[in-house]
Amino acid sequence: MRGALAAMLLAGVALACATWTSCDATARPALHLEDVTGTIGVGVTVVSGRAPSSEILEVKGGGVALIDFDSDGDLDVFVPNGATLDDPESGPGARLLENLGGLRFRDATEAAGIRLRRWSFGVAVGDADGDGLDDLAIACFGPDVLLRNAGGRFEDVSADAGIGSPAWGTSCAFVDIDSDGDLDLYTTNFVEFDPRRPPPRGRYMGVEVMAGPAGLAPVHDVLLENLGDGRFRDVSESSGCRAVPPSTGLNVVTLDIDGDGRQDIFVANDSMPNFLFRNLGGGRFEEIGARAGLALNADGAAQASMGIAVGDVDGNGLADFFTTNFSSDTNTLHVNLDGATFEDRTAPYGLGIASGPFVGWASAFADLDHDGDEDLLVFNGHVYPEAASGLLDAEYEERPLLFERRGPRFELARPGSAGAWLGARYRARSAALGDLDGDGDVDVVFTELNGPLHVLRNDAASRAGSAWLIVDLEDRTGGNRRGIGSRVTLIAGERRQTRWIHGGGPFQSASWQAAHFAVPNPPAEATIEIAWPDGKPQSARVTGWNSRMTVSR
Amino acid sequence: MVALVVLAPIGCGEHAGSTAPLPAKDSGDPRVDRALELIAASRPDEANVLLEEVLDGSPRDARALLYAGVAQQRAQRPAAAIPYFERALALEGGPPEIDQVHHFLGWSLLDLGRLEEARRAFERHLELRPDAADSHFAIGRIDLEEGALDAAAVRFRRAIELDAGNPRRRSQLAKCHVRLADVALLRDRLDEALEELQRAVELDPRMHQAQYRLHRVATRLGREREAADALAAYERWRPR
Repeated sequence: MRGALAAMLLAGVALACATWTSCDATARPALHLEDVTGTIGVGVTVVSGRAPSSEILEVKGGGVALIDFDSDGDLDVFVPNGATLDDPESGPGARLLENLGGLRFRDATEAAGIRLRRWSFGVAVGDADGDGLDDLAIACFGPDVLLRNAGGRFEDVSADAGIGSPAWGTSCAFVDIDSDGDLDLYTTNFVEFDPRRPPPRGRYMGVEVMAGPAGLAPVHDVLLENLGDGRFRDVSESSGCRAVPPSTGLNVVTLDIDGDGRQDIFVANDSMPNFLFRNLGGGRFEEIGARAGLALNADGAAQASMGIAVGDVDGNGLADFFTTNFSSDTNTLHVNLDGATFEDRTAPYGLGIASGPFVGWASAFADLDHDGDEDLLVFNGHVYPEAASGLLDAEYEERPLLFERRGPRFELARPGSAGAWLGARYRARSAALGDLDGDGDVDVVFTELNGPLHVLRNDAASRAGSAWLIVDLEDRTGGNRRGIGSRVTLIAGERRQTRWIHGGGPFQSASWQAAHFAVPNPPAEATIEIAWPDGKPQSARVTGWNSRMTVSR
Repeated sequence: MVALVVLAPIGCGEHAGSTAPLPAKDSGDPRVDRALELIAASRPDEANVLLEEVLDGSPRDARALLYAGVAQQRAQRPAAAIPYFERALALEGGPPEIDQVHHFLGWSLLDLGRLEEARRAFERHLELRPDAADSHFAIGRIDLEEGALDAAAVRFRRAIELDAGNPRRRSQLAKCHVRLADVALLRDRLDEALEELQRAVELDPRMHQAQYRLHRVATRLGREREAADALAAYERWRPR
C-alpha cells in the first residue's frame, strides 16, 4: 500500500517536472532572486499602526531608500518607519542600515545621528545643498523632514531649510524644475486625517471596512524650490501646481517626459485622475494629464494609482508609465506615443487581467534576468484586513507578480518559479532596486506593512552569460550631482536600450540613481547617449563590459 | 416556456462576468426563481442568501449552484463563484442550461487572471453552443490580452455576426466594436478605430467607455468637434 502511494507521489513529481521544467536545482531559470532577509545581519520591522489595520493612516506602510550615505561606493538602506495612532510623533524610529559588503548590513542609525521618530512614509534621496553628499527628504504624517548628510552623520535641518509641510505626506521626489542645477522637491499629500477623531467606518463590496479615501478631504501637494544652498521656498501656487483640485496624491516621479529639456512631474492619485504637470519653463507648470491620456485608463476611469514604474516598453526612447491599482481593477500601462500622447496598452502587453485580484503597490522595470530587456516587478497586499477571496475578491496577504519580458509582451512568471518569495504572500508596500552586492545585477529590497524588510539577491550577472554595464552620472555643474532627471541610452549594435534616472520611485521609495543594462552577445563597441536634466546631450564610448562607468560633465 | 432574464450589462471592462442571457425555467422552487430576479436586479448578496438556503437542503440542485455562482460573480467575487460552478459541472444530468456554467466559469477564471483555464471553459461552452456570441467575445478578450490581434478581431467579428440585428444585444454589440477599435489602435489605424467607436456609440450612446475612447481618438485625428461631443457624452454618462 505504502509502495503504491509512493509510486503515485513519484508519478506526480514526474508530471510536475514535465510541466514546470524546473526540477533540476542546478539548472535554475535565468530569472531567479533569492530571499536573503534572514542572513543580512539586521532585522527591521516596519511599523505602521496596529495589526490588523483599522484606519487608513495605517495601511500605506513605510517607504525605503537606497543611499550611499557614507560615500564608500555601496548602497546602504534607509527605512523611514511609521508609528501608531496613539502617538504618531513617536514611533520606533527610522533605521539606517550600513552595507558591509556581501549583503551583510549593520545598524548605523545611532552612529549616523538619525533620531527621526515621526510617522514617516515616502523618502527621496538627493544632494539638496550641493555639498556632494546625498541627503534624505522624508514625507511624514505631520511636518515633512530634511535630513542633511554632513559626512556620514545626518542633521535634521528641516526648519532652517524651509521644509515642514504639516499635511499627510506620502511620497516625495527631487527634481530640478528650473534647470538651475539644484534640486527642488515635490511632495504628494493624501487626505486630511485626525487620529483622535477617526471617521466612521465605511463599506466596500458589502463588507464593513475602514473609512477612506472616499469621504475624506484630499489635500494639495507641495512644490518647493531650492534657493541654491539647501534652503527652500514654497512655489506650489506660483508654479501652477495648485491650479488643480486638492488631490489624493500617493506617488510621484519626475523626469523629462516630452523631451523638451525641462523636467515634468507625474503624480499618481488615489481614486481620482492622475496629474501630469508639464514644465513650461520659468518655473511654471500646466496640468495636462487628461489631455495627454495619463489621467485615466482606456475606459475613462480614474484608478487608485499607487506604484509607478518607468520604462521604455516599446523601444521608442520615450518614457512609458506602469501604474499599480486596487483589486477588482487592472494595473495600467500608459505607453508614451510621441511625448505628448499616452495610450493605455495594458492588455496587449499582457499586463491587465492578471492583476485583477491584487492591490498593487511598488512596481519597477528592471532587466532582472540579463536577457537585454526589462522585466516588471509588482508588490501586492490588500488594505482591508477583512479581505479574503470569498469576501472581497482578494486575499489580505498577496504574492508579488513578476512579469518576464518575452518578445513584444510580458509573461507572468509562475508562483515560485523565480524563487520561493514569488509564491509567498505578503502585506507588501514599498520597494527599492539597486545593485546591493556590487555584482552587476539588480537586487531588490521591499517592505511589508507591520512586517520585515526583505532583501532579494539577484545573481543574474554570474548566471546569465550576458554582458552588463552600469552607468553613473556625475554632474559637476550644480548640486544635482547624480543627474536626477537624465535619460541614458545604450546603443550596442542594432539595439538601443533606454533608462531614466528619475526622481521618485516605485512607491514611497527611492531606488538607486544609476542606469543598468544587460547585453547578450555584446558587440566590441557601444555608445552611451545622455540627455542631462536640462536636455543637453552628451555621448560616451563604453569603455568595457561587465563594469561600472561614470559619465561626467 | 423559457423566460429569459437578461442580466445587466457590466460595462466595457467586462469585469465580473458576461451579459449572456440566463435562462430561467421554472425551477420548482420559488426561492430559486426569486434569487434569479434578485440577481437581475443587481442584488446578488440577497440572492445568495436564498440560494444558500436551497443548497443547504439540496446540495445537488444544479440551478441553485449555477445561480449561486452567478450571484457571487455579480458581487465581484469570482474566486467565491468558481466552487459553485465546479460543483454544478460535477453533477450528472444537470438541467438544460447547465452548459452555460462553462461560460460563467470562464468569466470568473478570467477575472482572476487564469487565462488558459478561462479559454478552455469558453471553448467548452462553444462546443455545446457554437452560436454563443458572448463566449466568442470572451475568447477575443483573452486573445487581446495575449497579443494575438488577428485572432481577437476574428472573435469580435464573429460575435457581431451572431448578435447582429438583435435589439436586445445592442450593448454587447457596442462592446465588440469597442474591442475592434482597441485592435485597430494597436495597429495604429486611427481611422478604423474611429469608425468602430462611432458604431459603438451609435449602438449604445450611454457606454461612457466608448465615448471616452472616441474622444481620445477623435482628438488625435484633429476632429475637435467630434472629440468635444464625445467628451460631453462621456461626462454625462460616466459613473459618479
